Amino acid sequence: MTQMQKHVKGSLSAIVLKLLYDNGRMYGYEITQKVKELTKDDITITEGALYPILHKLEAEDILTPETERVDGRIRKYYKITPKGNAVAKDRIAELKAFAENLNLILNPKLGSA
Amino acid sequence: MKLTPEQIETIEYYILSWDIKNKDFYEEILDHFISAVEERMVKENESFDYAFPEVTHVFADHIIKPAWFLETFSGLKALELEFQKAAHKMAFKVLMKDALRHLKNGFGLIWLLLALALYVTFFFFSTYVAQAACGLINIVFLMFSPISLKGLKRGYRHLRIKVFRTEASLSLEELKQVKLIPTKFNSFGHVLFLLGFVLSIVNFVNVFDFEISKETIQVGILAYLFLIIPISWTAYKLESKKA
Repeated sequence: MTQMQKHVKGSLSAIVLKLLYDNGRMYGYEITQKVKELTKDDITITEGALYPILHKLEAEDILTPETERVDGRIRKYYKITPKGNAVAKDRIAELKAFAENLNLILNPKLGSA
Repeated sequence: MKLTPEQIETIEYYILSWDIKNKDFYEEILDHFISAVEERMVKENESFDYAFPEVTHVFADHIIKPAWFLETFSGLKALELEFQKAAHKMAFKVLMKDALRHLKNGFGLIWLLLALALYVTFFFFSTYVAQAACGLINIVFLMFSPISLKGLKRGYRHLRIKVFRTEASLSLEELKQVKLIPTKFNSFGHVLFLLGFVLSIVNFVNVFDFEISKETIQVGILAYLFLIIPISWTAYKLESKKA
C-alpha cells in the first residue's frame, strides 16, 4: 500500500459517497476509474478496499443496488438511498472540512491572511 | 474491444478457481474483470494474455483473517467473505422487516389465529389432533417450500457429481450450477429448514408416545408456530421476488 493509499483509506467511504452524489449511479470499476481520472492517476482506489466499503454501505441502507444486463452479463450499479442522502451530505461536509483544516496546517499563511 | 466468449470463459474459470460460492459476488467481480481487461486492451494496447494477469494482481494483495481461530484468506476469497458478512447482515434486516410487515397484513392475522387454535387444541383438547395437524403443516411446509426444494435439487446435483464425476470433468455451466449459490436468504432458509425438520421429528416421535417432556414440546411448538413458519415464509417470499 502506497503512502497516498494510506491517506485515502480513512476517507474512502466519503469519497465514494461524493462520487455517487455527483454522478447518480455508478458501478465498482467505474468508481475506481473516476477517481484515477479526477486525480490524474495520483490516487488509486484498490479493489480490495472499494468493494468491502460498497457492500458495507449497502448493508447499512445508505446505498442501494440496481442490476442491469450489459453485453450479456450482469452489472451492479450503486446509488444513494433517500435515507443515505443525509448521511452522504454529512460525510462529504466532514471530508471537506478535514481537507480545509489540513490545508491550513500545510499552508499556515492561508489562515492568517 | 469486446472480449471473445473463450476469453470470458478463461476469466470465469479463474474466478471459480478461488472457490467463490456467492453468485451475486461472482457476477459483480466478473463484470469488474471484463471491464478492466477490455479497457486495458484498448487504452494500453495490450493483448488479452498480458492484460488479464495484470488485472488479477490488483485483487491478490487483499488479506483477511475472519477470527483468531480461523485461517487467513487472501485475494478474491477474502473479498467474498467480507461481501457475505455484509450481505447476511442486510438479509437479516430485510427479512425481519418483511416478516413484521406480513404479520400486520391479512395473512399474518389468519396465521396467528390458526397457530393459536392449534396451540389451544394441543393443551386443552386433543394432543393427538394438534400434533397431527402440526405434523401435516410440517410436511406440507418442508415438501412444498421452494427453499427446501431448491436445497434438495442442489443436494442432488452435488451428490451426482460427487458420485459420478469430478469437478475437472464439468463444463463451465455445470460448474457454476454446482458452485454458485444464487440467493442471499438461503442461509436463513437452511437454518429454518433444519429447525423445522428437528421439530417435525419431535412431533412424530411424540405421536408414537415416546417419553419427551411436555415443556420441550410446548417450547418447540411455540417456536415453530409463532416464529419459524412466519419467518421462513417471508424468506421464501423474498426469494421468489428475487428470482
